Amino acid sequence: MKKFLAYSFLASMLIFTGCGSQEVDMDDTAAAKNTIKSMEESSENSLNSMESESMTNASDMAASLANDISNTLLNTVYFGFDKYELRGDSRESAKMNADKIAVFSGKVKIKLEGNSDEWGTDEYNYALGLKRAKAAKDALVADGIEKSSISLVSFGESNPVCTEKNSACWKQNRRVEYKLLP
Amino acid sequence: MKKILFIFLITLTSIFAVDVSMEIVKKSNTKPNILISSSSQVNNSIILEKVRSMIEKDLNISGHFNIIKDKYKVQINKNADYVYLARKNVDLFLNINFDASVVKGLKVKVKVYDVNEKRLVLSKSLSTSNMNRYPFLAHRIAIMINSYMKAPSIKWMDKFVIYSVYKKRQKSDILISDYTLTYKKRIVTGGLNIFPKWANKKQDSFYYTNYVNSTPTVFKINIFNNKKRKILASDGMVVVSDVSSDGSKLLITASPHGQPDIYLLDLNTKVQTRVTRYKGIDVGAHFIDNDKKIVFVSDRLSRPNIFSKSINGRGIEKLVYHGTNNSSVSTYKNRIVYTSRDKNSEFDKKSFNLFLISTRNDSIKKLTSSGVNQFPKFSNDGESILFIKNSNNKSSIGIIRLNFDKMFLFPLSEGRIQSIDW
Repeated sequence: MKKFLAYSFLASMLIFTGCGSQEVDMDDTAAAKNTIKSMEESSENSLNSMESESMTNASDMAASLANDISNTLLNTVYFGFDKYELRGDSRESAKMNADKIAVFSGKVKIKLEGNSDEWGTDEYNYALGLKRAKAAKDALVADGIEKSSISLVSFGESNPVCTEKNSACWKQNRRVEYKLLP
Repeated sequence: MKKILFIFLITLTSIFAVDVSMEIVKKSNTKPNILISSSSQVNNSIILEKVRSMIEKDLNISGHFNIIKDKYKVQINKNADYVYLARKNVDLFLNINFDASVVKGLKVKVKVYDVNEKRLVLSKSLSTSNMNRYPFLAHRIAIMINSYMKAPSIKWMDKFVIYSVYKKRQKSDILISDYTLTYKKRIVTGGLNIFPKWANKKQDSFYYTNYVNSTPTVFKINIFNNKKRKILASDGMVVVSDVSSDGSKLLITASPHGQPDIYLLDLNTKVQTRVTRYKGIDVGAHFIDNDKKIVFVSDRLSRPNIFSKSINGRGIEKLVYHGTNNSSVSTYKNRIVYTSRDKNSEFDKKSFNLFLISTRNDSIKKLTSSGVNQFPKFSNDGESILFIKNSNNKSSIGIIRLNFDKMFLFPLSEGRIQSIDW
């Protein structure tokens, strides 16, 4: 059943990535409208609003589907407070993930998303999330997954699954999520 | 005479300001007393009252004036009542009103009277093309008054503050504000936009990180012409931590091989040099010593702490011997301000405080006492520190006036501030 789910996931990912695209919406006319008029008017006059990369509905849906299926197939791996070593149950979960990913050897890529709780300074937390993703990558490689098929990203504290202010909640946020990519 | 004594004491304070262990000179009785009044028409007085109130706040925050509260009003074209003002111990009287010569935006006429000398000493008009930008107009008036008194500069008040605000999971916007967060403009939206950093002292452009197909990527945007340029991308994470004084070099935390280390990017030659090589975490680098050395945060002694090294050398020096978890740092000449976590367990009450030390001596000064205080940034003159305070689920921008032992907070109406620069 899980295998069927995974193949469905791959097929749907290919469909969605075909039509999904990133859009950069920059206001080109704004520059012409906003010039510095005099020294009396400080530079706030020239501030213009701009849209950064905004995802289309299709790529949003693909990402959402990838999340759902990856989460069904693969375990999220959790870490200790301020730690980025895989130990005990977390190492076991990482091994189980490697076994499942090995079934699709050569057919999928894996993105490891590192996250942190809200403790600490933000830049340090992004590094902490990254070190956790790196630990998960090292474990996958040690368990036989091709190194070049794995990429890393850290979302630091920007991606909490729980937003309450207690230790049980923070524990859920110190994690690495495994995402399968076509 | 009073004024001269005031200026002398302020100058004395500035000289000693380079040493953090200095005694704060008590000068509350020597500052000029100022009364700020508006002589507006009834139908358009709200915005003028906002300008008046903002000037009052600015001059109070400057620490260079005593604010006198009084309902005294006089028409802008009439002379001040020196006898009445002297009875109220007013040294300077500031009167503002609309300048009717502009139709669009806001133009304010400013008159300053020296009550002791019984004369008008300053008369000017300042304008902005957009009514919403009145805070900047007020800041410029405050700077003008402060400058007239020859007090230490408060030009930092007119600078833009740039910051990122978390909205929801993996979503954050970048905004530009005045330092009180009264004026706000959202300039980058869509996706995760984090770690904005001014590209130069002119504040005409900034760097920030955006996730393009989940790959962290640094862009540079010019706020005058909206031109956007990709600088670099890195698997894992990439953050512009600091910009050299001439704007030509960047200190970056990046992880091209899955390992967060500090890199120096020369924007002219495009050469990227790896500055740190440690298997743990090295982040948050800032230039010191004429951009020849860096301070940075590292967990190389098991807990995050503050270290320094020369850009080209190999030796690492531990800079902070207080606290067990110090995770962000900023410098000004021989001064170092850093964030330190008071407790080391997730079960303790969460508290991060700011501490100020000097590289010249062993002095240490606690600057904050509660809440989560992070991302300290010195002003250009080193006399103020901007920082983020999170307390009771509320995000604020804080300003610490070092020479006056004063702190001011400006809360954000919604969202949590991710990072900040000015």
